[in-house]
Amino acid sequence: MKSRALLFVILTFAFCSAAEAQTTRLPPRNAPPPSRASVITEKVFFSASLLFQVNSNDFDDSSTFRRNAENGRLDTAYAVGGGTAFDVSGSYLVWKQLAVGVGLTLFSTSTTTEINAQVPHPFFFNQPRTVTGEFDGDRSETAVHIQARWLIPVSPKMLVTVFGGPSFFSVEQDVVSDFEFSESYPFDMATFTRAIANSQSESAVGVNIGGDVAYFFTPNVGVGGTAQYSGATVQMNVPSGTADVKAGGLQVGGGLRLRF
Amino acid sequence: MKRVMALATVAAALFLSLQVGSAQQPSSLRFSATTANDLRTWDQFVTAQERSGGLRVMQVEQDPSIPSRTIERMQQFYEGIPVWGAEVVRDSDGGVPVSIFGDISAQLDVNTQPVLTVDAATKVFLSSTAAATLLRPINLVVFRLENGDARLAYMSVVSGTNEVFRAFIDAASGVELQRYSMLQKQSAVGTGRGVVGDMKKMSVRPSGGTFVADDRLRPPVLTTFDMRNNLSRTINVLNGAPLLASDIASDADNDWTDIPAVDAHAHVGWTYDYYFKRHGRRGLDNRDRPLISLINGVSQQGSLSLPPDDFGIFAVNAFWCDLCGPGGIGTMYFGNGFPLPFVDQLGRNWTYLAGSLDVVGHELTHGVISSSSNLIPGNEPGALNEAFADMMGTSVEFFFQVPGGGIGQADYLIAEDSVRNRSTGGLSGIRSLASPTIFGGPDHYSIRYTGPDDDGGVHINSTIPSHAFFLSIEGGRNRVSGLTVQGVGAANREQIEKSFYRAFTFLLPASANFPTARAASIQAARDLYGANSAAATAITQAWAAVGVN
Repeated sequence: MKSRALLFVILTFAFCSAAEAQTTRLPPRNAPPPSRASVITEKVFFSASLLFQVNSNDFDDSSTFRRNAENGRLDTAYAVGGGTAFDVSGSYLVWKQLAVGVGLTLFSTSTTTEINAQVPHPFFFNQPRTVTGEFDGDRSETAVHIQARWLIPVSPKMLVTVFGGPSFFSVEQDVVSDFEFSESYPFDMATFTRAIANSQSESAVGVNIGGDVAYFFTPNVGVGGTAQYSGATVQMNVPSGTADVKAGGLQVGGGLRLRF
Repeated sequence: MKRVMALATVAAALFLSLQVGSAQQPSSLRFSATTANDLRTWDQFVTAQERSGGLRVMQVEQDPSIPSRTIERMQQFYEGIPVWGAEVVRDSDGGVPVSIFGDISAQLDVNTQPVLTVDAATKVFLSSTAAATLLRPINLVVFRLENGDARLAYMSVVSGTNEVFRAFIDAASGVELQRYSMLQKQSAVGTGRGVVGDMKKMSVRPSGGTFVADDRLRPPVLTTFDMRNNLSRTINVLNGAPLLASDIASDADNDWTDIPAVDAHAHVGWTYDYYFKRHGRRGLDNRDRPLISLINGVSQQGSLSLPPDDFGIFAVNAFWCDLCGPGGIGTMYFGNGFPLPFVDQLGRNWTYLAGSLDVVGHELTHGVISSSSNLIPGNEPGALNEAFADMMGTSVEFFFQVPGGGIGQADYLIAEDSVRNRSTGGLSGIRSLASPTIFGGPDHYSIRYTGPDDDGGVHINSTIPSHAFFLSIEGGRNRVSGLTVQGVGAANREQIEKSFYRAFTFLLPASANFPTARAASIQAARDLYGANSAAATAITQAWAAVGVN
């Protein structure tokens, strides 16, 4: 998926360059043309992109619990892989090439949690049973980005934008709080039956930074490719207490660009 | 009325030709058939006896070790009356006999009409001991005497103030013919010290804001009752008085501090686990018969003021009583010993008997035997009974404990964790399977005890078979015979445990003697591991080394 996303970005740039080559007309020799590229006449910019989050945000937890008069151990490993995100942003030109705006990124993926527990034996000390299982849960992230955008008009039809600013993340994650297992005499083995999980929502402030290349077919409508990093660390309640859980990351993709 | 058993002539001929009889019992027909020729002959005989009613199948079990095997236990009957201890055990594979072990009477000449009435017999039983009560209804049996004669006898189980025994009285004269103690105890008075002091888990249940020693995790009822140092109530319970919920050992915060409650409850559970895991057996009768333990019959301090008989039974002793308890449920009792600094004449202090895992394994094994081969608790069958209890008690130790000579470690001593010598270098424990003579036990058949004490030396002569068990595992040279045994090694001890278990629970008839036990244990090893297996070889060598051929 990562390579496909990069390919998408490359193709977007290539497409924009080819279109530029076909539509450029030679200026009159003795009359230097006004540099359309250095002039930004539009005030409002809008983008809607489909992004792919490249990195994974795995995390784990290890906790102890009391059972059968002895401490047991519960290890959980959450595999939070990359996935598709939807991103929209709007900005307003406030000064020369500087615009300020706001963006919204929505990301969701399914998470697989590996559960590995050591459950104390009911009859004997130091003879725990190993219980392993999996839990399929969900992760969703909503990030609101406040952005300062620096617009660089490369040509009348091509606009490069770099941006950055704070991001406000809200993360919802299914967290395993306990598990159930079956056992029977002589209790030397125990078999995982199900995980008990709860959905937690936590928020944190992070940053976003990135760049965008847009090509406009018409004065107002175009396409663009973008690469951005937006991330934050939230604290989730897990059986051992709290865990630092990363959200966001490197996202690449592209989509519709509008300017007015 | 005189009746000659069917095929008695053939049997007698077989008896003579196979030389399977015993010199003391000329009419006894004792056989161990494991070869094709012998099996053919004895199977015909047994089948004929079965058809004529001389043998009745009393129990049929599927062998958990070898699922294709079926083991039939048959009781000899004479004119409709059971002949006490006369049994045949036939092990078949798909209907084809693999081994047959038996001890029955070839010729009987007994008048089956009792002269004594049941009421008169009852009076005799009740006068046989102080404060006697009958735990079992009176039955007529044919009782075989040591000299080979047989008598029509009344049999019952009598409970007195400090004893429980099975008694036989002549149905003609009212004379007592025999009695066997039903308290299969962990040997006699001795001393030693201590409970191991390790942390154990107890499977209990909450009840009314407290916790009681009633195991709800293991399949059978497994409950430990605290007699709260009330000896008269203990005796009443053993005699059948009901046990109350309030009698169950309890602890307020589930952090148990009563040592005998912890040890008895945990160790009985462990022994059940051993039988289940090692042998696939579900408790005493393989049907999860309840496991009832009584503790704190008398305190250590209180033991000092007991009469000698009570001291021997309830203080420095543990026992299994198959018919004791409410409804004859069967009960284990574990004494608490006596306080320091007192020691016995060997310098040993005796403390909580339940603290020795092998003692608990020993007593529970008596219950296993009661529900299987039911070896008669006297003379050689009784010594085999005690020997097997020691073998399994030791095996339970090795199953759960680390081998070694320290406290709480697995070894071939019996009761060493509870009966501990206070003097440096002194002997702890009461018996040794490795070196029986260190406690005065015989390590060879030629020096067996032949007197009347101890029900014919059941706790004394037990060390002959149990030493064979030891040699089969560990190997070594017998002190008397000088014969060397190539044991299977500690890593393969399971083979020997399973062979002896199979022999002693499935294959032996109730009146088996040492040679029958030898033949059965060798056959069991062959059944499980092959005729030329290391286990079969080791067991064969071991019995030869201890002089049993």
